[in-house]
Amino acid sequence: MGLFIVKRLLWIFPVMLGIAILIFTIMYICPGDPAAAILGIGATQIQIDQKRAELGLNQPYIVQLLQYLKQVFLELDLGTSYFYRTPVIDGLMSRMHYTLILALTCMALQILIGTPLGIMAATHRNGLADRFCMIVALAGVSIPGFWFALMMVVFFSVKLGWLPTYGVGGIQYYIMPCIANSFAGIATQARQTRSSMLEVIHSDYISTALAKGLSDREILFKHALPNALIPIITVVGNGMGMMLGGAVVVENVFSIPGIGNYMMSAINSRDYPIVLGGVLVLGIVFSLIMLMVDIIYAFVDPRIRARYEGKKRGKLESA
Amino acid sequence: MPKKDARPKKDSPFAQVARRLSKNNVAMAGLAIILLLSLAAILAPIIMPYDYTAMDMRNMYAKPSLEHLFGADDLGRDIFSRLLYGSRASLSMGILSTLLSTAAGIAIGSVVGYYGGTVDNVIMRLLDIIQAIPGMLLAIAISAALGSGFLNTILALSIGGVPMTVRLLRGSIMSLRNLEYIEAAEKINCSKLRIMLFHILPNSLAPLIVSVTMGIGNTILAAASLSYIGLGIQPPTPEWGAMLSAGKAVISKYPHLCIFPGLCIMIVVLAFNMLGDGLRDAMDPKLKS
Repeated sequence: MGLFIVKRLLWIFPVMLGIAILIFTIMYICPGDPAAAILGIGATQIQIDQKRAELGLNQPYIVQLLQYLKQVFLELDLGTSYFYRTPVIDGLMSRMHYTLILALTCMALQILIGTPLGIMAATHRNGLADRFCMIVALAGVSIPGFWFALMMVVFFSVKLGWLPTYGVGGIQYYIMPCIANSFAGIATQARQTRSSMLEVIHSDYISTALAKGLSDREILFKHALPNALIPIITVVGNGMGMMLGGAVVVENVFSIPGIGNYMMSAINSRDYPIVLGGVLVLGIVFSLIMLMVDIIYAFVDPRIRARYEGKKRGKLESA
Repeated sequence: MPKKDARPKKDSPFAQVARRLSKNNVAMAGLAIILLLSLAAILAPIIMPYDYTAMDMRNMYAKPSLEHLFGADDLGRDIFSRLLYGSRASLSMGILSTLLSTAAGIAIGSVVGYYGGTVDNVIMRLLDIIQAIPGMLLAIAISAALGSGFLNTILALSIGGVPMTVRLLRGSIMSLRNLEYIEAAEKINCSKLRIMLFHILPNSLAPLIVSVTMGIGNTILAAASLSYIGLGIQPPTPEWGAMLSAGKAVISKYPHLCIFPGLCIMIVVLAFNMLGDGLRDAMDPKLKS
């Protein structure tokens, strides 16, 4: 297991290298000149050329790419913002906690609300509770998060005056962003939990447990849920990706000064180091979460654990 | 010459799916909404009550009324007409980028399944890299680099969807590869390409169709998000996300500028999800029992 974790941690490195090359290349081919964007409309061609030379933008692609990779991966330096002239890593780190608080709270909401909803729907198959949960879930995956956020602003901030419209501060500032960003996750979680519970509930061993006279509670939590967990955990991991991406949009709606807003303003001013750095840092966060998900798989499912512990028994399943 | 079949007459699998689907009211409602909206999008220039660019300063921010069904925007343009015309961009971006990513996914997935071994390893690791970035973030980064616009947005949205299709197809190729009928096809000297195209792909279609249906809904949502944050499609072209973004500034005074574009997005995505759910149930009856 320890070896597996180390292997997976090391795997993050080439993945980040790949992401860096991919995004750098896309940024390079794209139209638009950062030098011109920094200098503004009044700049002359000579000034722009000077700026380009200063930023190293007049070098050939491969030189620029290698320089960037060397800087990021050997010197662990994400570069300096063209626009703010401050190190990108500082800018990201001072904003990181807003994005992380938002994404992690949403993930917690997704697990704590979505899973029970899904279980309730599965155990009350076709009943009123099932109908209700599934209608809520269908709405959740279909409502645009940013629109839901705006509608909440209209209702709770403008009409009722209960919650602040935008910005950051105490917990009341996070209520609407978290609801808006987690609704889709809660819905996905509920849908996945329901369908994997339903699949398990029809198994023979559940009938056996029923025949043994076990209580519904015992069957549910000891026999059904553990076996239904794998797809449910997968959704949690994917949900984190959704929350991180969604955070960028929701930060925009509520003017939360997180990584998302930092990146968006950088996109408008063609400040490549910030965009690249933001994607890399969020990519690392996401990869770490996915690693955690893989480790949790191993704890939940003895078959997967056996595979990592090097026993040949797991070979059948992997084939 | 029609083939003779000695077996008792039985519906084709697709006829069975269609029959089961037609009994599912929710899915049929979804399908009806999709067809209706597609028709509206195609006929938009004919049926829209006003020119979507026509400004009317007397009706700035007009509230919904019989004259302007959904009201008018900051330049007095009819929101209903703009939504109708905007459905063209939103729907076609969703459909085209899902089809593009699925086509690319099928091509790559077939190559991966066809060669296996090292090719499989290399391509799957490359796809891992794409999947290591949250989808929305990747779309933002790519469309930031490419710039806004119809084709650029389609490209940005489709890249993130490719790994999923490849995985789906690869999974079903793996499970089908060892079945007898594939072995039989190999024994009668079918080429690998032929096996892939005529024997494996048709049998992998069911999950692909479900994922395309759901994918279109999600992509429409993502496209609107991109336009909303200032990437994607930009004004003056009417697009639902961009209209929402334009209405945001005056939302406290004139919420109808935001309410209707959002409702449109929601209804379309809901319809695709309803149809997708129904298709999944119809194609996998064992889940339904």
